[in-house]
Amino acid sequence: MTHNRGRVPPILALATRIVKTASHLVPRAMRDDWVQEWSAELWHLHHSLEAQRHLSLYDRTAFVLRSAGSVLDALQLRLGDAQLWSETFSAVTSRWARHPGSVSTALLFLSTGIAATALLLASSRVTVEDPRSLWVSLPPETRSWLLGIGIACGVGLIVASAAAADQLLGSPDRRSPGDTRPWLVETLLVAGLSASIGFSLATLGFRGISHPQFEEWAASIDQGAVVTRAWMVAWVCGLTALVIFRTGRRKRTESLTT
Amino acid sequence: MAPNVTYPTALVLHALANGYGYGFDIIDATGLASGTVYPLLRRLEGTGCVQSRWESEAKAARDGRPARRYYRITGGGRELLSRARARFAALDQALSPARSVTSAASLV
Repeated sequence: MTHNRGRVPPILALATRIVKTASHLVPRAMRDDWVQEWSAELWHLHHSLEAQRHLSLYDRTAFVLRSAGSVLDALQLRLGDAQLWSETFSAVTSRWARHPGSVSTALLFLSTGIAATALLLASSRVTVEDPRSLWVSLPPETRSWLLGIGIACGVGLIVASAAAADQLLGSPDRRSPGDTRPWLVETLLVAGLSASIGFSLATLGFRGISHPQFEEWAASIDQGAVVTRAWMVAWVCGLTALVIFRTGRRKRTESLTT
Repeated sequence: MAPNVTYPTALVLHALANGYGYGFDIIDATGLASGTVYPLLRRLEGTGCVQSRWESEAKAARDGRPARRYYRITGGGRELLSRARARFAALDQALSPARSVTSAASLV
């Protein structure tokens, strides 16, 4: 600031430093204006305090603490308004409450897709690693074919379940054109719920299929780790597919609106 | 969409309607914390209840001080304020022009 040609008082320098540090949270497009506003207000406050009286320790502390409000201001600009997020969450859950059938079917489709893909991955791994399985006696060409079929089945399961979930969920209610909050909140909710349901289904399913066929072998491996890794891969794939479908739907909805 | 009329929102609108135009002036007049007032001003501006503009750089430079951002209440803001007045009867007595800038309530 050109008006501060002399030595900047230490508390003003400290408060300005706090503002400048907080400014890293502010979106780049509005950062310069934001820093200028806070710095100008702090300058004016400091100027009026100095003119009024000798600054006590309490005044100095209060002055610096006031600059700390810039952190909350910057956080809001970065994260958006907390109340709007809360209202969006309520709007999404209310919509779900109005359509419980389609939402629970969507969740079930996606969770089952994730669980089935995880089971496919986990059982394939166990089969490939079992030294006594039929797999080791198969010719390499047949193994490649089987692996290819397995991967295609996994991808198909995930894509189909994500597509079905997207279709059943439909488009969330929006406050205004271009408002992506409802999409994000709904996708995050679906991701969290399908992750936990999918994991439970995959764990139950793996216990059911692994023991009768690979009893001895299955006892020697860490089944929990096998199924968890497989579930993580399946969940990430499922979430990616869902995000792609939801983004496509959002863009189509927005282009229809405009 | 107009924001919910909470008491802090009503206080900020009331301060703006009474001529307090700068962020720190509103903080001093309302006794609200800076971490409350600024986010409210951003939100009110986003919903069209408040407008902001920078004062003239030339004028500020002549006075040897930095330019400040000035906020003013819009028609939509006044409508919101009238709804708030119906809800918060004591709003008219809430502003404290002589409130110390270093009062404990307005620290952060």
